[in-house]
Amino acid sequence: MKGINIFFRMLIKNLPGLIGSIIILIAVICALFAPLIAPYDPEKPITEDNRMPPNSQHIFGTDEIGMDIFSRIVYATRIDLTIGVLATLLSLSIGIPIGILVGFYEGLFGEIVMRLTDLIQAFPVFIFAMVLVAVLGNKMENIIAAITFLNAPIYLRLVRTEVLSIKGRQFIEAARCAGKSNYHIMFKELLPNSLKPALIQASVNVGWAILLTAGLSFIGAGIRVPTPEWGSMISLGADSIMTGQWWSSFFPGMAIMVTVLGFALFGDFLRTYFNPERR
Amino acid sequence: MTDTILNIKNLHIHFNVNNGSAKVLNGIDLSVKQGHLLGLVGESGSGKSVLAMSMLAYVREPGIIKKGEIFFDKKDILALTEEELQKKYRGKEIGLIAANARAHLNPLLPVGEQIANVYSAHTKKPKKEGRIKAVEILKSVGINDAERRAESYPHELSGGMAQRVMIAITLVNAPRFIVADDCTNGLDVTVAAQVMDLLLLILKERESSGIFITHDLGIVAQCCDEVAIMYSGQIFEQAPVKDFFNKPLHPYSDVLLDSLPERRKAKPEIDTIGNLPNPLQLPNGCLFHPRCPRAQELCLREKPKIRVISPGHTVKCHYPLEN
Repeated sequence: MKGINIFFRMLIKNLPGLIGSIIILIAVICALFAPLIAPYDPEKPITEDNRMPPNSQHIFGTDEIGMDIFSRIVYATRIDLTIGVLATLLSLSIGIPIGILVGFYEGLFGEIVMRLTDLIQAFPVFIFAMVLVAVLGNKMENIIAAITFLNAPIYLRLVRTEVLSIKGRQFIEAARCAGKSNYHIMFKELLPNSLKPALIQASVNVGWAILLTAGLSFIGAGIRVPTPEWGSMISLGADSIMTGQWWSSFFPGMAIMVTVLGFALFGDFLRTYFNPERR
Repeated sequence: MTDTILNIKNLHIHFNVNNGSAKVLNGIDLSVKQGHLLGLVGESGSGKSVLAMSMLAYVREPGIIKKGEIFFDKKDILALTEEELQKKYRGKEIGLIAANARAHLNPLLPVGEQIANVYSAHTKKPKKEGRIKAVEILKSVGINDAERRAESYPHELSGGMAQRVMIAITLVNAPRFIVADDCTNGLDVTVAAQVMDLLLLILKERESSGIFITHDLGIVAQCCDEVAIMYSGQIFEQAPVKDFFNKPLHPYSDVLLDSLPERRKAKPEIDTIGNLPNPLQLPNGCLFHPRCPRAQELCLREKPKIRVISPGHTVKCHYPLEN
C-alpha cells in the first residue's frame, strides 16, 4: 500500500509526530495488556500501609486506601482511552455527514441545524457535560454520549465551513459538468477534501475528551472510585498534597498530561501529512 | 452532415448582484453544424465562459436564465430536470474541457481514479473496468507511461499533462459534442499546438462536433470550420472561417482583425479604444455603438437584427462593411 508507506516515512522524519505516536502506542498497549503489565489488582487495597511513598515494590507508591498507584494508572488507560477514542469517533461520524449535507444544501434546513449547534455550543462545555451526566447517571456510556453530544457540533462546523469554500472551486463545477450525481459530489469530491481539519481536530479532541472525563471524575460526576480512572485518582489524593504525600495525585496527573500531549503532537503531525503538496 | 446539432436561440442570462442585474448574455443566437468545430472569439468579460457553461445547462449562482432556448439534437435541454441533465446529458452528450485544468481536478484523488469515476458515473460499470478504461484513454491522449501516470495526483503533473488529463476525462464517455473553454490558455506555444492537434484528431476520429473558445484568432484560422465573434453577450458575426478572414462584415470584427500583429504594420493605430460596456448599464441600441467607428444615429436608437448576408454568414449590424 503506497499511502501507508508514505505515512510511515513521513512519521519517522517528524520528531514531534513520532513522539506523539509513541505515547499513543504505549497508552494503547497499556490498555490492551493491562493485566500483564500491572503487578497488582487495581481495585483492591493490597497493603495495610496506605500512602506509601514510591519504592521498589510500588514504584508510584500507594494511595489513601492502600491501592497500588502504578497498577491503577495502567488499568485506567482502558477507561480513559475508550471514552476518549469512542466519543471522538462517534462525534466524527455524526458531525461529518451532517456538516456535508448542511454545507451542500444550505437553505432553511441548514439554518435550523446551525442554530441548534449554536445552542449546544453556547453553554460552557464542562458545566453542560456535568449536567448531562448528572441527568443521565454517571455510567461510562453516558459520559461517552455526553462528550459526543458536545463535540459533534465542532466537526459539523469545521466540515461545513470547508464544504462551503470548496463547493465553489472549479473541480466541483467540473464534476457537475461531467454529470456526476449529488451523492457522488458530496461523498467522493467534497468529503475527502473537507476532512482534513476535522481529522486534525479529532486527534486533539481525544486528548480533550480524556481531560473532560478526568475533570468530571475529579468532581465526582464521572467514574467512581474504586474503578481506576485518572481524574478520580487525582481527586482521591488531592487532600494529602498539602501534607506532603504528593505522589497519589502527581502520577495520574502526569499520565493525563502525557497522553493529552501525545494526541496533540500526533494531531500536529496529521496537519503536515494531509497537505498533499508537502509529501 | 449539415444537420445542426446545437442551436441556441435568443439566450439571456443575468446575474443578480447587490447593485442590480448584470446582463451577461443578451440574446445569443448560435448554431453549430454536425461535425463542425466552431471557434468562439471575444474579449475578456464578453460572456464566453458563461455561454460555455450554459451549453451544459449549468449556470453559476447567482446567474439565472432569463429567457431563451438551447436545442441539442432537436431537444430543448433547458426543459430537462436537474436529475435528467446529470444522468443523461452532462458529460455524456456534451463534454466540457475547461481552461486551467489543474483547478478542475480533485487535488486529493489520483487522476486515473478521477477518470474512472466519471466513466462509471454514466456507464454504471464496475470500478475495475473504469480503471482499465482510464489507462486506455490516457494513452490515447498521448501520455507516456499511462499506467504509472494514472496513479499521479494532479499537483504532480505539468500544465500540458494536466490539460491532457482534462481532455481524457471529457472523452472517456465519448460525448457527441465538446465544449473546449480556452483549453490552450496558459500553455506554452508548442504544448498548445500539441493539445490542439490532439483535440482536432479526436474530433475527426469520433465525428464529434464542438465549440472552441479562445482569444487567439490564429488558432481559429488554422483549426476551426466556423467563427463566431462575441461581444458583450451577443454574437456579432458568425461565418465560415475563410469568409470571415477574407471579408469580415461587422465593424468590430474588422478592428479585431486589425489588432493582429501582421495587420498592425499596415495600420499602426487601432481605431477602437475603450472597454466592453458595463453589464450593469448596457447602452441603448447597438451594444457596440460607443466604440464603433461607423456608428450612426440609428445605432443609438435601435438594436440591430441578425442579417444573413450569404449562406452561413450572419451579422448583427445596421451598417455592415461591404468589401
